[in-house]
Amino acid sequence: MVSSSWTPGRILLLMGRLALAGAFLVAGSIKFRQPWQLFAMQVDSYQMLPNWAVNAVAWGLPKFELVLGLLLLTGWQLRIVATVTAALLAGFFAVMVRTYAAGLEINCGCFGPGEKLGVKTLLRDGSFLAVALAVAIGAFLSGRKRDPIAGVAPQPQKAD
Amino acid sequence: MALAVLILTLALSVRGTLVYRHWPARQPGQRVQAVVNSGPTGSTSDAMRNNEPPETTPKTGAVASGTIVGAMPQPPGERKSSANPTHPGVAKAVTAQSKAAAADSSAGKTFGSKTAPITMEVFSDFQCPSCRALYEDTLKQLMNDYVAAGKVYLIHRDFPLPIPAHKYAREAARYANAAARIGKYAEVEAALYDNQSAWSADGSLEKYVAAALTPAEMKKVKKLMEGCTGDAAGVTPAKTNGQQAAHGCQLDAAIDKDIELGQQIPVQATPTFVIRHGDQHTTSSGVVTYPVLKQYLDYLMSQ
Repeated sequence: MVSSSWTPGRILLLMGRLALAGAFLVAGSIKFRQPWQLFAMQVDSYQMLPNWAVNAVAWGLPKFELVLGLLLLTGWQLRIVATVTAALLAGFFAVMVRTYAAGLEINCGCFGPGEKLGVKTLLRDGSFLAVALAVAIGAFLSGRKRDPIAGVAPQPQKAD
Repeated sequence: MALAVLILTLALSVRGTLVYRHWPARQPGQRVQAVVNSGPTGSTSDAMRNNEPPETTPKTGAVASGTIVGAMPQPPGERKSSANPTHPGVAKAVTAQSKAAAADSSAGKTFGSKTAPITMEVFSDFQCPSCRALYEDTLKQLMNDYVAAGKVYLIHRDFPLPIPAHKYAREAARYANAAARIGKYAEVEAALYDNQSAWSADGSLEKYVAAALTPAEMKKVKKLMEGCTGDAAGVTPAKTNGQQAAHGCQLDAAIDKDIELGQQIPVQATPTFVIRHGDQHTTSSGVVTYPVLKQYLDYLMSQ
């Protein structure tokens, strides 16, 4: 019975996974719809990467975010996907904290142009990171059987 | 808890993004009028209501010096046409010159052809290090490669931040605007940015401006500077109003008009630049390197 799996922890795991999926799909689609050269200006304003890397990030990140969002939505290979998500968000958060601490007043670029990097964006991305970590840990702690809610892939069962 | 914050902030972000993306585009020739004349029910006002006030940009009351002719953004019904509501007589004394200056605050601060396919409007503060970096590393090359070639119409806008760390920013903007009125904006702009660290330390603006101009030009600039006092940082609005209105500092009217235009975008940090091409427009803040800006401009040109 599926109903036996609806524990509070798993419901939270599901909500966290879907929230992250939504965030990545929204962020990715906004960036994907705009020319990558425009997103490159936002990446460049962080003043961290050489031009070739700026262009690579601007071209690839929106697509990567969309793929990540879809994977989170389906729950396929959740352990790996959640770990990658948490690592990516940790990277974003570190860059944003560094930029904010350096006093650079730039656009965040997180959800398209026009949003200043500040306390609000740090709080939001810190929350994303916390949720991603929780989802990743939750995915690893989930049972070894197929979990239709958390989305963990079935594991091979040993014969007794 | 974190999930609740996440959902809330995500909702705010999406809302803000949608507001941004539906921000109406303006035609280059209609820029000033479109912003200033849009009433409380206009699209620009809608955009303003849906955006939070800037965190580091001047607050309305803090910078709205009394000489500004177009009032700073106010809620519908509270908009006042008077420059200084506490001194109606003095408000009338705000000269026609000030009104004319405010009507076209970009006079002398534009470069290139108005018919260029791309318009780039840069809001900057002469005492801001990032603005200096943008000017030195990007805008100079842009002037040579795109503005001179008639591809980009460049408009400089003043956005001096009224913070103690930028206590000479407004005075620098006044010098630049005075120079603009005698057709020497580019020279003074270069002098101010090239020597930013020097005059930021001791306020010796006049020395560097004078070095960029002939004695006759400097005399004209100083004449235009007459009556302009206070640095906006630490000066109360009421005091600033009386001070400037009484002397009719026409330069401050132009600067405040630029600030007003910036607040309507809204400019949240300096430098901020708005790039317009046809019905597309984008706003970006911070320093962007020339190659990265160039590839975006080339993309726009290819559309």
